[in-house]
Amino acid sequence: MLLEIKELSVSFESIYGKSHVLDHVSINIKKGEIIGVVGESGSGKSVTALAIIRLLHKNASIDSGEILYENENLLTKDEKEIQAIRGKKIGMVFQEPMTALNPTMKIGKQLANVIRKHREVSKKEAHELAIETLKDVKIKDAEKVSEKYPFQLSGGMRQRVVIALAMAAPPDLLIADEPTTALDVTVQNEILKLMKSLSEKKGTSILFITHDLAVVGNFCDRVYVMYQGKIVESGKTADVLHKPEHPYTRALIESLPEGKNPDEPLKVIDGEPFVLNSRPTGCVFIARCPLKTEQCSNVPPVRWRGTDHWAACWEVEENAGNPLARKEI
Amino acid sequence: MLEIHSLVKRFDDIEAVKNVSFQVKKGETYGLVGESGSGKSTIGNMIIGLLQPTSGDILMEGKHLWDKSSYKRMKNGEIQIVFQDPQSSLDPRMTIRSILLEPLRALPLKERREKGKKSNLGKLLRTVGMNESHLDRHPHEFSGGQRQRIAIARAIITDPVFIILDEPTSALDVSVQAQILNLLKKLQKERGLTYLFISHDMSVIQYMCDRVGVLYHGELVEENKTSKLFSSPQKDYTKKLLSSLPTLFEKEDQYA
Repeated sequence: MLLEIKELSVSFESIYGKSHVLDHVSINIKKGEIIGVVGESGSGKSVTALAIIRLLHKNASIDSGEILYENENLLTKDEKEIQAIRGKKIGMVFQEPMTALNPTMKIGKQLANVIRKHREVSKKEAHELAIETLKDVKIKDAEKVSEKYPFQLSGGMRQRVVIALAMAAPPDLLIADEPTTALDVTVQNEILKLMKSLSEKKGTSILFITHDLAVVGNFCDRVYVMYQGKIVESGKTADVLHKPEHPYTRALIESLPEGKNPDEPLKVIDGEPFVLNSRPTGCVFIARCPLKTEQCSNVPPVRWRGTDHWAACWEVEENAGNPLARKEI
Repeated sequence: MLEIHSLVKRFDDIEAVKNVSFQVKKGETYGLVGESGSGKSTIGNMIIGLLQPTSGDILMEGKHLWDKSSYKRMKNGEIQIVFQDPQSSLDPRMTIRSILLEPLRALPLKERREKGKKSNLGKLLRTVGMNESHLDRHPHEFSGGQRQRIAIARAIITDPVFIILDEPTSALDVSVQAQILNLLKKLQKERGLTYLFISHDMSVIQYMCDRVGVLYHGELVEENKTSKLFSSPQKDYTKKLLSSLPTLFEKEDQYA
């Protein structure tokens, strides 16, 4: 296992009191795997990403859990040790490429700086490697682009450069937080293709964070569905999308317009997410769930449906006939 | 109902909209789909009067909307618009009441009084799934979905016949998007509204629109009934757009 997040709980302190934003989150990633984390705003998906690379804001506290990277707990490392991992072992790509790039520095120089940080090479070699890296992300005229500033590039080109930066080391794990959300759909398609081929070529695992279930569809091997700080369902992508078990996952898929009859209203999830400081004690979806019963005020159990596929819900029946790989949670 | 003939908009040396012509029939939803910079919002802004066309004609029920540099409607408030981001399209310092009343300023006094009555405002808010207790609150007290409902209420208070919906759900979570799309369909049915639906999201367009026009670099490259456009796209760009669309359904080679 490359990365194992075990029962991670995170809360934020604010003037309104303590808000629990991650509630016993467990995620694992094997070498070379592409893992999706899907959730709506406030689900905790970005907090999970920031916790891994230890970039949580000062008012966040980690209440319990471990983040094991190659069996070493990242949470107990000091800043110096973390810096040796950030970028080199674990790369990051965020939504808005403009904020990830230095606006006053030429693309080639930014890349060369990163390369020199991770490898013992001369300035000249670093520059040559920078151009190679740009070619890796399918940038035509890499030499020319290396002489440009970020503002001279389109959004899609900038995101390619950011991916080039993140892949420069190359890392074992790439955390991509909504990397294509700000991009046009045709550009998104190319960026996803690029990420997939880089992952295959360099054996890099990807933790892909998104609000868009459809993007996960043909991109990720496995997926975790988050709702308000809790993982409610997980499994192979095809199982989760085509045989969803948790009422939230089902409702989310139902509410997408893709392939729906235009003459019928879309099914909606009633109600609104709860306010963070009034977290329910049992199931997080209780207030909006059409299937809720009395027992839902207790923390729901993990019910297995098949190899790797589970949902945290009282109403889901355990599929006893299946040889279940429970160790794999 | 709406006719657009050879519409052109030039910003300095960039032609953002190039010779675009299309018509929107009464009661239908016409979709304009395209990527950033395709000119879709520019067209919407010329129809609503925020931008002056460089050349070409926009006719609403046979009457020119633009007469040289002046924008005229047959009746004020007959065309309305809902923007993408309710965070920025609602003034944070105004109460919901004053946000709703603002479009009425353009109407004659009698109509303004009638439509601005508290009972009418309450009814209006209930129509969009909110209620009169919200009238004295401010936009920041509401979620994104609720704010978009307020923006829709503001658009329908003048009893418009034509509404431009410029990416009305692009800033919203998918579960909230479904609520807003349902609301828009319900209002259209109840009030016989005609929509121009601007979006970059093909699956939303497919669900919402009767006919679709595809914009690419300011040109309308293809137009058809929605079902036909999706089943047999003619132009390469439309095909590329459709094949790029991420899908819930299995498509093994999508990112290969």
